[in-house]
Amino acid sequence: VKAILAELNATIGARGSLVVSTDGLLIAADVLPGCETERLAAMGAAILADVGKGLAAAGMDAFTQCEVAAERGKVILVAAGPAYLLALVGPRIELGPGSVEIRSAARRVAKAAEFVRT
Amino acid sequence: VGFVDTVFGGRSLEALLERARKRLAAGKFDEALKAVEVGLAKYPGAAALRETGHAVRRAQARAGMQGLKERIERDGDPAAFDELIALYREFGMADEATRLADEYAQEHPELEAPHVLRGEAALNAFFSDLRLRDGRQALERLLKAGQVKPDSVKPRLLLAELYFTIGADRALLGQVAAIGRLAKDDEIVQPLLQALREQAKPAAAENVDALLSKVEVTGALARDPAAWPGGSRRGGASERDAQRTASGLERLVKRGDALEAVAIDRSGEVVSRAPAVEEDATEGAATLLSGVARSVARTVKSQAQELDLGSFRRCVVEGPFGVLLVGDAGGTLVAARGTKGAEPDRLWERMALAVDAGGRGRRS
Repeated sequence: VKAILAELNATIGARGSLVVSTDGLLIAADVLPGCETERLAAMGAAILADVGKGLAAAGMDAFTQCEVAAERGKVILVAAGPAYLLALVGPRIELGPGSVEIRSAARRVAKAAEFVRT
Repeated sequence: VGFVDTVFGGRSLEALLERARKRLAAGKFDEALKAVEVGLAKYPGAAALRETGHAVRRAQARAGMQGLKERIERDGDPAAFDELIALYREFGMADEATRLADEYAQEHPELEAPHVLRGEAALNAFFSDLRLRDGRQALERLLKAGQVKPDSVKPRLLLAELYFTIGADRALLGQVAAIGRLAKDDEIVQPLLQALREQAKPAAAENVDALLSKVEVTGALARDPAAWPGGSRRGGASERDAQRTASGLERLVKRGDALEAVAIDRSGEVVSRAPAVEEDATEGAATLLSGVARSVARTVKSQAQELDLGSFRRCVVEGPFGVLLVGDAGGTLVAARGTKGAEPDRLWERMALAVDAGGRGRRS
């Protein structure tokens, strides 16, 4: 999974990417220097928990992808089988959860997770 | 030849542009601006001339900034600090303005101005992102400014604004009394103070820090800054803007771009909703989107700050329920839900346009 993340970072120029379980536990990470894994993982966990809770309170199902755009960067979270793939990119990168690179990485992470489970 | 060129050749758009650019390259900004003005009088629709005008103003500001930086380096002149901070603000360089105000306060802690500047910047950040850290910073700096110059009205007014928005009415009335004494003949301030006295409902016991924390936890202010009786100074929506936003969101839903849409102010109150809820309808389904929007915004805003990503712009959540968009439009939270498979960028564009019609839209 780390190799998938490293490849994703190199391809899309991400500052870091990681995989978290649906309950927010960090599974694997690959981040560039200056990007704190713990903070990024905490963000993933908070989004999964709080946004998930908000959706559930409104009677909506769990989300499959989420993109948070801020002044200096963007966080993308995509469902990857039993886990979620999270990537932190710069503000100008014209990438979204629907981009081929991120979807492909999410599929590969999902496959790897399935393999581990079986 | 020179005369002929001046009379004939010098009047073409290309010649005017060339003249402005040459003056710009030579650092003769006033002359370059003059050439742009002359050109625009003759060719009012010339985009290239307007762009050159912007380039000249930017270059002029950069040169001015450099000169001010040198003055600050040389002798830490307070006037240079004031001017440079004002320039940074004018050109939207908020981070630079904040950094310089910090430096100014370190260099001249005995002056009121740097503490007020820093306090006001923190207050604006607090109103925008509802972060406890910014609220505390604003409080600390404005109190310090008041200590440095006890008879100054400005920091007290800003403090009153902070107390008003977080619902610290006891502290608010304390400031109102102090300002009342300092500005007893002020025809503008006195009606404001009267309005504040009428609105305040002081609790028996009050903890300002707890009220600041509550803002971050709930993601909402007790009162929207736009409700400040002195007028909506901080990007708050006027009633007309609110009506325009409401009709913009209504159009968004009617055209089928979104299934539903809401606009929420900084006190967490829904200011517009589409489709409109009928008067006799019970709350419920109609409030679900606003509930999700508040919850999403609260989490992602604070997380974006934690990761040092700056101000929150927008969040797109997709799932079996469709596409949910939550965005910040000049302090107003706007949210829309589109059908499953709806293109988020397109929906965001439409939503931004709808809110722009209300005069407050801002794209990421």
